This record gives sequence, C-alpha cells and structure tokens, in this order.
Amino acid sequence: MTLDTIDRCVAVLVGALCAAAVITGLAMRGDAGVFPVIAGTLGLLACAGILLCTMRGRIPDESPPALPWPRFLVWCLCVLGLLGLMVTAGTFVALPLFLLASLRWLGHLRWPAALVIALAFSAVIYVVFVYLLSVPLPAGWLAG
Amino acid sequence: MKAQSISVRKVMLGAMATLLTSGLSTATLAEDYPSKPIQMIVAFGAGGSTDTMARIFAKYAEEELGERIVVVNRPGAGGELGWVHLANADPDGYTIGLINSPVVEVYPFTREDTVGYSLDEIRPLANVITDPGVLAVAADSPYQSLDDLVAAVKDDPESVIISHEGVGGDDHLAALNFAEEAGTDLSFVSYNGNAEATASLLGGHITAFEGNMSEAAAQIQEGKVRGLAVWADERVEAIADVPTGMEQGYDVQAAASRGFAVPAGVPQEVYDTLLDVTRDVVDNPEFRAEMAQLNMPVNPIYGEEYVEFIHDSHDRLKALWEKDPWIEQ
Amino acid sequence: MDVLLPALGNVLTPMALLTLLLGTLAGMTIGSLPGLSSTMGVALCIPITFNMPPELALILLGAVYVSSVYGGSVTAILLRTPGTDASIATALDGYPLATAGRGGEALGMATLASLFGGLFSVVVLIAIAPPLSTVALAFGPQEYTVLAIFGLVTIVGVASDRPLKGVLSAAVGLVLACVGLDAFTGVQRFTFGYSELFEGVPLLPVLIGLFSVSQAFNLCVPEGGGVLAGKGQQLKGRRLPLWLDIRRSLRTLLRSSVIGSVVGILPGAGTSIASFISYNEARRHSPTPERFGKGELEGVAASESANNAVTGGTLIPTLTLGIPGNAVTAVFVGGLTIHGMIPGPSLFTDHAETTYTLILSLLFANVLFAVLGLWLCRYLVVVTKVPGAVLGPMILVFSVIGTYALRNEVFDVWLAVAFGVVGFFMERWRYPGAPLVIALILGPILEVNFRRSMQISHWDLSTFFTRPLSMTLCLLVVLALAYPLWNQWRRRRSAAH
Repeated sequence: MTLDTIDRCVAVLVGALCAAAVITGLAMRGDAGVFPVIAGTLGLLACAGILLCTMRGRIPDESPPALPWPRFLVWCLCVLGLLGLMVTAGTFVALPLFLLASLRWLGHLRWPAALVIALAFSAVIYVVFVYLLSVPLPAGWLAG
Repeated sequence: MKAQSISVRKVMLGAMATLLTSGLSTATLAEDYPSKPIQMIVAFGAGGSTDTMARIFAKYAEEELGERIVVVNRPGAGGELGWVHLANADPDGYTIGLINSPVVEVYPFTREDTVGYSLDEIRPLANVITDPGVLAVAADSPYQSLDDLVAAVKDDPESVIISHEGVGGDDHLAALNFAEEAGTDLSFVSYNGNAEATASLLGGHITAFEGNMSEAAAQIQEGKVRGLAVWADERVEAIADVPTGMEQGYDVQAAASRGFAVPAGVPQEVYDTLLDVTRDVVDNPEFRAEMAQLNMPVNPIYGEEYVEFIHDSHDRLKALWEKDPWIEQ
Repeated sequence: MDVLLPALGNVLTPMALLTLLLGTLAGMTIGSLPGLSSTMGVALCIPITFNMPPELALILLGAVYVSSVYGGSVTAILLRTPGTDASIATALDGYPLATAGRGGEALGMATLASLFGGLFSVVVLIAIAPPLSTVALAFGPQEYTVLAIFGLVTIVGVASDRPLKGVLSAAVGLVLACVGLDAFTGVQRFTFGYSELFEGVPLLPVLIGLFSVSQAFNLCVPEGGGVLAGKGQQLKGRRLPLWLDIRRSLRTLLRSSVIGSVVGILPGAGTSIASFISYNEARRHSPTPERFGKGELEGVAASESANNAVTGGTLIPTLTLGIPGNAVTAVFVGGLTIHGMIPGPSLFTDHAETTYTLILSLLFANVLFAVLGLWLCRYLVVVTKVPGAVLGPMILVFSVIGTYALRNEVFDVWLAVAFGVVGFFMERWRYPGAPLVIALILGPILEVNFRRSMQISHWDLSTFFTRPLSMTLCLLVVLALAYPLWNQWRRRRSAAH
C-alpha cells in the first residue's frame, strides 16, 4: 500500500469519527456541544484537505519500511500477555515472564542471559515501586 | 455495568485467593484487629485538602491503632472512582475511606445510569470536618453585603457573575439555594477548583466567588477578599467578621463535610474499634490544633448519627433534584 | 532581604545538603524513567515529607520538582520517551541527535540550558516575585482562550512539515479533550458509561502511550532495531557541546528563559506552551531554520531552558497568592499546608525564613543537577547502544507500571497501550503525535475559558478584541498564522530573482 492510499483511508475513517462527534455535539443540551462541534469540524476540514492532497498529481511520499509482521505479532502477544497476567496472576509473575519471552524471542538472547536480565529488572522494579514508593501494584493470586 | 464487572472480578479473585490459601485466610478474625496495615482510600489527588486531612488523621490514628495506615489516592470522576473502590473492598476493616458529603450522596441519583456504587454498599463511620460555604467578593468590590449584591442583580442581571466549582458540587447547590432565597436568577461561571477562581476574582474578571471556608479563609484574613456571607447557623471562628446568611435574612445553609466510611458488612466489633479510634483522634488537642491551622472546622458526628446524617441529606437533595434537576438531562 | 542569610544557613546544614542531594537524585531518576512524571515524583514524596521538619520537607519537594523536570530531558533525548509534556519539544531535536550518535552533546546542551533557565527563574523569583504575581491576575478567561489558540497554532506549525496532518492530529486531540463530564452543564460527553473517563481522557496515559509505548514498538519490532542501529552509527566522541554552539545559543537561552518564566506565572497555562513557543521563536530567529527538527542543538536549548524556567515561574503565584501554577505546584501547596504554611503573602512575612530556604535550595538544586548531569552524561549515552529488543521491553514495563501508579487504574494501562499502537502507526504514516497530546492539554483550557468568557460577556464575541491584553494576543495569533506564508512568499520571490 502506498502512503497515499493509507492517507485516504485514514482521512475517510477519522473524518467519519469527526462527523459523528459533530452530530453528537449538535444533539447535546445547552452549550455543552459547542466545543465538540468546533473540534469535529476542524477535523473534518483537515480530513478533506488530506483527501484533496492525495488526489492532486504530485510526487507521493516514500512508503514507510515494510512492517515485519511476525515480529510485530509476537511483540503484541507479549504485551497482551503482560497486561492479562498482571491483573490475574499479579505484577511480579507477569513481569519476569514478559521480559523473558520478549528478550528470548525478539532480542534473541540466550536463555540464561534473558533469565538473568528478566529477574534482575523485575527486582529493580519491585524495590523502586513497592519497597521505596509503596505503590500498590496489582498483586493478583499472590495477594492471598 | 462497570460496577458489575468490577465486583465479578473481585468475587473471582476472592475465590481464587481462598482456594490458594485455604485454611490460612480464616485466621484474620475481629479480636486481633488490626494485625496488618490498613488502607485508607482518598478519592481525591495527593496534596488536595481531603488528602491533607486524611494524612494528618492517619498520623494520629496510627498511634492509636498501633498499625500502619497507608493512604491510597484513587482520584477520578469527582471522587466517584475512589468510592467505587471503597464500596467494593473486602469488608474486613483493612480498607477504610474518606467520603465527602454532599457529593457522595448526590451521585447515586444524578448519575443514576452510570454510577458504580450505591449508598447501601458504604457504611458511614464518623464525620470529622464540616467546611461551611462562603460567598466572597474582592476587597475593592463595591458590594458590602448580600443585599447590595442582590440589589445589583435586580438592577442589571448581567452585572454580577458568581463562580462555583463545578455543576452539582456543594458550592453550586449553595449558590442556587441563595438565588432562590433572593428570588432572582444569578449568572454563574464554573471553575475547576478554587485556585483559578481566586485568581479571576482578584483580577476583577468575576464579581463574586462561592467556595468553602477553608479555601477562602487565608485570602479573607489577608484582607484581599471580603466575605459577604458564611452559609452556617453561626459565625465561624477563623473568619469571625463575616456574617452568616441568616443574619442578613437569607436562609441558606451549605457545607462540604469530610468523614470516614467503611464497606458495608464490616464486622460490628471492627466498626466499633474504628469508631473509638476516630473519637480519640478527634479529641486529641494536637489534631484539633493542626485542623485549626488549616482552617478546617472540626465537627464530629459519630456512628449511627452520621449514617442518619448522610441518608437524610440524600433524601433531602434527592427530593430537590426530582423537583428541579440542576444538571440538564 | 536580611532573611536571606539565616535561610542560607538553613540550606547549608549537613542534613539539608543531604536531603538536597537525595531529592535531586530521586528527582532526576523519576524524571528520567519513561512513564514517571514530575507531578508523580512530587506526589510520591509528600508522604515521605510528612514526618520531616518543614524546611527539610520543602527542600526535598523543591529539589525533586526542579530536577525531575530536568531528568525528563534525558530520556526525551536518548530514547524519545518524554515523561511529561514539558519535554516533548526537547525530543523533536534531541532524539535525531541521539540517533546520529551525538546524544552526549545534546545531553550536555540540555543540562546547560536547564541550568540557565532554572537559575534565571529562581533569580526572578527572589528579586521580583510579588510585583510579578499581578501578571497572573491580569489574565482573565478571554486572555487564556487566545493564549491557548496561540499555543495550538504554534505547535501545529512546529511539529511537522505536513501542516494538514498536524491539524488533523490536533483536531483529534481536541475531540478527545471533550470526553468526560462537562464542567458547565454536567452532561456526559463521549464517556460510553466508563466512569474512568468522567474527568476526561487522562493526559499522562495518552502521552506515555503515544511516545513511550510506541517507541517500545519502534525499538522491538524491526529486526536488529535500536536507537543507533540501522545506519551503522557510532557514538561520537564529543561529550559536551562546543563553546561555539553554546555561544550562538545564548540569545535563545535568554529569550526562552523569559518566555518560560512568564508562562509559568500564568496559572494553568501549561509548561508545554512555554517550551513550544520558545522552540518556535528559536527557529524563527535562526539563520538555519530548516535544520530544526532534524537535530539542531539550539532547539534542545530553547525547549529545555524554557521548561526549567517554568519551575521558578509557577512558584511565583503559588507562593505569593496561594494560586498554584500547575499540577505539580498544586501538589506542592498540599505539601506546604501539611506543614501549616498556608500559601499566600504570609509566606513572605510570617514564614519568610522557611520560604527563602526553599527558594535558595532551588538554586542549589539547579546547580547540583547540572553538575551530576554533566558528570553522568557520558555514562547515560551508552544506553543508546543497547539493542532495541532489550531496551523496548524495559521501556514498556516502566510505561505500564508508571501509568498504573498514576491513579492505580488498570483502565489507564490499557489506554496507554492502545495509544501506543496508534502512535506506532501514526509515526509510520507521518502523522505527528505532539499536536494530539498538546491539544489534549490545551483543549480543556481553551474550552472552559472560551465558555467562561461567553458567560461573563453574555455571548458577545467582541470581548476578545476589546481588552488590550487579549487584543495583543489575537495579533500574535494572526502573526503566527501569517508569518510562514509570508516567509514562503519571500523565499519564492528571492528564488525567482
């Protein structure tokens, strides 16, 4: 996909959202809707401008470098895993596992190196946030 | 909807925790309360006036309880988020929280469709501070009394602009009450917090300022701001020159109160322990001195009396709301 | 002024100096961790200061405040993960410098600029705080409205060479700024029933998402990614900026410090306005404006001196009027009141010694973080050599924990990660993220002040043009809009000749 095609999609999509904001704003009671309407209209104008620009015959912007999908998906899974585990199993189960997984599979570190970094970094986080700053991080199953 | 998902999660987590530590977790009984640190939920940010009061209270209560009290700030949605957390906490006495009246009893009907807690889930423990409302003008303002202000409004409704701190807050309700007493409509402008409103008042951008005594007292004592009325049944010590609304013929009473509450279902012995601790702290002259320095009037209401106070206020405001909602639906 | 000597005595006790050192180190660390901000640093320190004598407590808070603003520049430059909106402008030129291996120079310049801006504003605070505080009062709702528009126009112009994409980004930010309970009518706008959104889309999760989380994506996703990687770059030997670079930035430093101090005095105007306006001014006066945004030391100097000048500026209304200038000083006020010091004129009479102890300790904290910063520069730069796939997960962890710690809401963490994905694609498709964040900050300022102006003037739009101060600001907006067009026209004409 060229950047022009992407820009057109973005303009249409965001334009639709801005239009929705304008319509909702118009239906609001009192003067609550004034600002959403102004902001939404500004967005609509910008979308229209971007759309017009992509139609004009000019040298298109160079495309961004290709996205390595497998790595992107692995990383997204790691992040989702971190968040999911954090609220269920607890922060200090999730952190080392997340670090281990991403260092091993994305950073291609050897297992021992990844393990050491993961544990050490989790320990640092524990000392700084739980011990020094007493932030009540989600404890999950560990809380019992 | 939100509240439901939170409580479902809580129940699940609770069940898991019980499974994991079965046999051990039943040991925390009421007689050895407290045996671990107590969480105190403050529904407003660190450094705010509610937070300041909570931390000072916690300092004295720790001495009485012999256990640490950890103040946890859970600000958001004008206090609602904090109270959702309080309502959903385990009722074991290890989570207590501050509630601010009248906002805490107003949300369940002004935000009926979305509110994440109900008053039945919170058991009020004791009121500590009652901070009366104040109507003030800048020192160089021509208005010397409420009558002057009302006369000016009747003369030219556009000449008087009064600030309050958010629709549906106690300041707004007080100002509406005053407008009703005066038999006129007032022009309001909403500020988020007392700082910006004071700046606008001192800069001459607005006519008058409706806020709480503790916020306005320093400026009144400095002589930069003149209090026109305090909405209490008698004058307040910190600003004794300011007459009450009653004295000037306007029957308006408004205040923001701060007290403590626990999740409903806390064992009665634990509730009584906490109540005794609160009594001891409130009676401590050092605590009183610190509150006086902060211009926060101590007004203790304990136990069942406080529960009644909150519920009465709820019923009264709800009736008002049903008659004439102050937030447009 | 005879109170300065006993105050100096207070600062020079061993206990005070130790507190100062610890506070400065803590502030630098908190500021420089992606996902932690100065507001949070000060808020987290309040409980600690609770059992300290007032002088020490204030020294600690002051040191954490000024050094955390400086600390924010370190990660903004080296990793492009600004911890607060104050350092977004720093990253515009700082990060390109770091990717070119010149991170050391950029850090050095940022340190010197922070020192300059910080000292300038503290001197202003000592010398003329009470008269200056009237500036804070002269600004009414009308002026804030126009100032916010001026800020938005500036930022759209600065953040990208594709103005339309910048405008779209800002517009999305403005729409997001509408989310929440409307303060004027109580109407729920775009909250979809989430009570977490009642007070609006929380700023810091969006900021952390768009910059830090998306940067974690940038570093992790490409094979062999990293700050220095890709172009075979090496760390350049130079650790400090050349004297030549410093000398040609002097005018920028001075101008930015003045802008920073003045904007700081205005309660609620926001640090980012100061750094972006300063950055824009530096670019406008530069003989080589085209180098801005691609790694120009003067850009780093402009933004950093401005955001540190704000620290002293915000304390002026805080201390003299009891009106906090921003979120950090609002927390600061809480710290003061806990110790029985009600902010207001009495601070300079009844509590003068303690107040001047605080102000003097700010001077010392500025010098201290500069010395520490210059010494640490050489070690900190090494972080840019760490492989992206090792750095990325760590940035993400800090972002997640930092976001959660802001108000203990898991919702905010999800929000940050969602904005991280959005930010990652925005950058690939060349939509600048800065206008979105700044619009999210300025949107509420713009809206509430616009509506307040309308309530005060009873819907008379001419109120913006009949007040001298707001009229002046209107002219500035027109100039800011017209200047780039005029510049283009002039260049085209000179090219034609």
